[in-house]
Parts: sequence; structure tokens; C-alpha cells
Amino acid sequence: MIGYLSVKKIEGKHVGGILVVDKRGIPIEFKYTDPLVPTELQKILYGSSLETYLHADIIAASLLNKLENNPPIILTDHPDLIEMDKRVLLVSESTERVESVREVSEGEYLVPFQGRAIRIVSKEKLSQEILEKVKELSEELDIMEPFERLDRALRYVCSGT
Amino acid sequence: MLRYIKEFFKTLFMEFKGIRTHSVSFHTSAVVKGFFVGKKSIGVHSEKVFVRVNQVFMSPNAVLHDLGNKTKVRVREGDLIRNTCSCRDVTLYDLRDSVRAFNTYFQTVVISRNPTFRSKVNEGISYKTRVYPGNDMYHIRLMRIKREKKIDKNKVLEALAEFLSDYKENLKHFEFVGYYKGVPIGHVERISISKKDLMILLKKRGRNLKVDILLVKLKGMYKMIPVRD
Repeated sequence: MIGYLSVKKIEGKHVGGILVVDKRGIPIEFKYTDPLVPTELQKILYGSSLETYLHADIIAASLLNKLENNPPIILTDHPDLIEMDKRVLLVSESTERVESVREVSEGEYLVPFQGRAIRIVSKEKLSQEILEKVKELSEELDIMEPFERLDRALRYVCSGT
Repeated sequence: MLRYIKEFFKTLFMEFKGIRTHSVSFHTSAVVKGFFVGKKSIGVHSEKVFVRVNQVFMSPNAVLHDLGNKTKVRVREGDLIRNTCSCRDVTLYDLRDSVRAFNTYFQTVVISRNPTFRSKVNEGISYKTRVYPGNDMYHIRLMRIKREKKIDKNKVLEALAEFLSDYKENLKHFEFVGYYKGVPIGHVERISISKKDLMILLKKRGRNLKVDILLVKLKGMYKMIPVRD
């Protein structure tokens, strides 16, 4: 089981979702938030910290709090969210090629994926067990693909409001 | 003679009917032409009192005096009009209406000098968001499986050879589309092809079955060939 957490700003609306899939990619749980539209006053008061606050402290925190399953790994495509929970790992595709898991710096790793690599960033050093799980998942399924589904779902949520 | 008698009685009747008196009513109103506010005094000047006697308007000047050095003013009749004003031969002692009209105007000015602002405090910055379950949403059940760029030639050729041994049609209509790994065929509700990638609509419940497949096109129809490990 693996979780995917994503928070986006779509046409001025801030919305988030969390999708839990099994190792075949079959969805087990999906939760999403109300799209939030900050008022002009809120934009002024929060200034440049608005998006970080909204995305991490409000949207991601609410989603993690409401999650019914407990996946050991939650991947995100949003750098601000790795502070929310030690299970949350930032993932991105890399052009580098690696044969095995490699630690680039503290909390940053390259994991082999489809002949290239994915870059994993964590707020703290990952255990060998977690790294093995990431490697295993990357071999079993297209580890980036569920983000596409999340993106489509969140766009759909925003389009209806 | 008769004419004189008629005149006499007419005159007498008029006398005895009583003198036709006209009730005189006074309506007064005050108009403040200007005022000034000092540090501790309020001065009023250029006031006029209009007096209406029956339907006739007269405007005798009335002198209204300063209110004195007061920081807080409560306007009373006596504060404003201390003198009587005369109108021709008639002395008007009662100017209540006048004073009332003046008071109303004046008090309004005083209140506006000491405004009290009340403000409602609004909570303007808090955020709340609700979380909804969306397990049934179509978008999260639509899975894309990309065509593999690197293929295991031996496995693919073996699967193709096996398939073609049973294929009796002309190979002119045979087209190889792609090789796909880990297709959850036990959960497929619907399958389509988009830019040579498989788009699979997943069923909520299904069998735990996952295979690698070859996708070929035969006479314009897609055909999936499972690849054994």
C-alpha cells in the first residue's frame, strides 16, 4: 500500500487530495478537500506565506488527519509537504541512471526506476526498510502514474465549484 | 320708511350677533444662520425667528446669546432664548415652537462633534476546509500504463511465436503496438489506447491478477497477448 498526496492551485483555487493504492495501482482510498479561494484580506495578511500555510497546515494536515488507511509511505509532488509527516516523501523523476539505491545527501536518495531514477527527499534520514519498500514499489508499478490520476481528480473537483 | 326700518334692524342684528373676532395664532420657527464652536464655548449668531400670525409671516430679529464656557452642552429652551422678541405691537412671550425647532437643529450639531464609533470585529483570516471521500470518482480509477521502452526480446519473441503459430490469417494485417508490464487484468472494466499507452478503467473489485502483455493490431482490431515469465 502506498499513499499519494498532492495539493495544487488550480485557477486560483487551492485544493488537495490523497490517494492510497495497492501495489498493483488499484485505488483503496481517496479523499479530497473543498477548493479554497483566499479573500483579498487574507492574501494581504498572509503575504508570501499564504500558499505554504494553506497547502501544508490547512489542506495537507486535514487530509492526513482524515486518512483511514495507514500506508508506510506517502509520496508527494509538493516540496512543502515533507514537513507534515515523516512518512511523506517528495518524489520526482531524475535523468540520472542508477543501478541501486544511492544516498545523494542526508535525506535525499536516487532509486532506480524504468532504466533511470527517481529522486526521493525526506525530512530525515530514511531507514533501510523504507528504502527497500520504495525500490520494490518502483519495480512493481509505475510509481509516478497515480499522480496523474490525482491531478485529473483535483481538476475535476475544481471544475465543479 | 320701510327702508329705514330694515336698515335699523340690520344694524341692530349685526351689533347683537357679536363682534366678529379673529383668533390670532402664532407659529414660530427658528432658523440658525450660523454658529461657531470655540474651545469651551458655543456661539450662535444670525438667528431669525419667523413668526406667523394667522397667514402673515413676519421675521423679527431675535438675539440668541452664547451658551457660555461649557464643555458639555445640554440645550434647554432658556439657554437659547432669554429675551422676548417683539412683533409690531404684539409681544410674544411664548416661543416654545421656535425653541424646539432650534434645539433639534443644534443638538444634531453637538452630537456630530462627539461621534462614537462602534466596530464589529470580524474574523478575517481563519481557514477551514472539509475533506470528502471520493472512492467512487471515475478519475482515480482511470489508470495509464505506459508502453515499455525497453523490452525483453526473448520473452516477447517467445510469446509472439506462440501466438502466430495459431494465427492463420495474412500477416499483412498484423501490427505490433507495444509491450506493457504489470497490467492488472483482474480489475479491468474497460480498456482503451491513448497515444500507444493503455488507459484502463479499474473495477472496484476484481481478481488479484497482474500480467505483462503484448498489444497487437489485427485487421484494425486490438488483441492482447499475455507474456509468461
